[in-house]
Amino acid sequence: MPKHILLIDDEDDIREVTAVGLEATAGWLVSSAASGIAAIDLARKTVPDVILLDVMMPDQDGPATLRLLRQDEVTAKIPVIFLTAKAQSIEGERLRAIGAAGTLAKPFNPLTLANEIKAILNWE
Amino acid sequence: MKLTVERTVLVGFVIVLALLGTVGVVSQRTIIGLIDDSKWVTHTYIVLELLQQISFRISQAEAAVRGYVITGDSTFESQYEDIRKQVPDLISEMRTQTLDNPAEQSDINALDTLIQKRFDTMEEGIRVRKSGGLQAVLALGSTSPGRRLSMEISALTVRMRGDEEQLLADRNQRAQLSARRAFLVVLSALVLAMVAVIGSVVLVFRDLTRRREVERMKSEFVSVVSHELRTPLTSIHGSLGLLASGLLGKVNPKGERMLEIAVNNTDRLIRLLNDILDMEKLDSGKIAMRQTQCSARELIDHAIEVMRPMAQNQQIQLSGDNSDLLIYADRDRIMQCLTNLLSNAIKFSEPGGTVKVLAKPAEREARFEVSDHGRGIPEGKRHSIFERFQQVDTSDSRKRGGTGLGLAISRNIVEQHGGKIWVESQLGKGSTFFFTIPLADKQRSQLQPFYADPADMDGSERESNAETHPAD
Repeated sequence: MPKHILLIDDEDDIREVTAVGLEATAGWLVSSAASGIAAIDLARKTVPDVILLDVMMPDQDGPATLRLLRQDEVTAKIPVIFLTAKAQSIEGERLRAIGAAGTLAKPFNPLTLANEIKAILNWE
Repeated sequence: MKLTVERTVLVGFVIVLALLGTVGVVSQRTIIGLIDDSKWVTHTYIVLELLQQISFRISQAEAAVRGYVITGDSTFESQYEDIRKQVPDLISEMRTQTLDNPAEQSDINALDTLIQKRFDTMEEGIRVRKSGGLQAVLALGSTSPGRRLSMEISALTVRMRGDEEQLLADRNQRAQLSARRAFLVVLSALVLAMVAVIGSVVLVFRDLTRRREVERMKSEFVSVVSHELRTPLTSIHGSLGLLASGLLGKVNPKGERMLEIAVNNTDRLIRLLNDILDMEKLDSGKIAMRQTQCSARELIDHAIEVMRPMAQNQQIQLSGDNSDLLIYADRDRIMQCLTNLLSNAIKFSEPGGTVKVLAKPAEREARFEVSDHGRGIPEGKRHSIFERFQQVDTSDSRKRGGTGLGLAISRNIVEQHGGKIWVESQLGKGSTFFFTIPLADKQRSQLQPFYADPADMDGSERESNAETHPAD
């Protein structure tokens, strides 16, 4: 069974490139949403294996979206990895403290992204 | 704008200094004037006292002569002689006291002549009494000028007293006037100086606030621009990477080469962006050093591990050392320094070369050393390379893919730890970059007994230096 990834980023191009990368390198299934509000709906319906969540988004940012995901029984257990502007140790610790499984720094390399996700989540 | 403020402040301070100088001069003059005035007051009183003494002696002499004429008692005569002897001293004292005043001097001369004449008439009286008895003196009475002379002396001394008192009054008035003028000058100078100081301070503060605002706007601008650039770069970098990987289909060799160039340059752009953002954050103090106790060896091992792919790519051997030290540092930031220095050392080493990295105790600090056997750094560049965008060769950033900010960032990090960073180099033989970081307290207390004698420590350091740097 290929893994199912839910990618949330307000940048259309980043979503597309990331999806192509993950599909091409790992053969994973990628669905995506442009906002936190849309993502929660999609996450409830599809229950992905992991959610890649952009930190900085208009309307409802990454941490706010994570809080809502954790409050919902269906989505509470889905691991969330934050996509940050630049992974700084302080920022990373703060995000892990509010329940993130890990952080990935932008601009990330779509060729190695799948491996980095695997490393964070201890997937085989 | 910057120059104008500085120049205005400078002019302000020059004005303040000039005004304070004026205050000093005026105060000094006034004080000297006041001391002078008090001398004059004393002087006037001495002159007045002398005049009174002289008048008194004349009256005493006249009384003694009268006594002798009436009684014929020689005690009165000798009394007269004593008094007469005292008068010349008083006159000469008067002369010395009024040396600077010609009008007074001529008055004294006139007084002296009158007194002499008066004494002459008194002595004439004594002589007549001796030869002709009381009757002869009484007969002389109407013709003798004694009475007239007495009145003249009295009138002259009264006038002289009046003159001297007038002189004192004039001097007092002048002194009061000059004191009032001095007070006004000092007061206005002080007020002006205060205005100048306050003006300068206000100007400096306003300028500082403006500069701070500009600094804040610059920092915000850099941060916003970097973030805005990052978003499109993420897409470009990702798409190019996917195309270059061949996962999306084969590209012809020329196309592959073009993609490789695009990927490399995007990588460089991303590094540059990260470094600019880092530099800006370090400069504006947005990154606080989170210092904890950590192992120098672990940091070195980790840095070597991170840099190994790059080193292997260029066929460079990386070697660490076995000694271990506990330092008090921000792990991530020291890692950044070590990887910056290692990356430089690898870039400038010939294939087959070795890059060494180690840490040694040096008094209360750990001294990290990263050495290569590359082309070396000319002496004139050994300081400037730690400045932003200052590379040994301007083509280095293009040829070697550096950002020109790595050493500036490293220096900032080291300095924020309270350490120093420098380079020693020999052209054609290689360079060693050094930086110092404080040792952890625990490590210091362990090391102190062994390095109690600084000479010992130096010796052991040289020794280990010789071991690890045969080429130096």
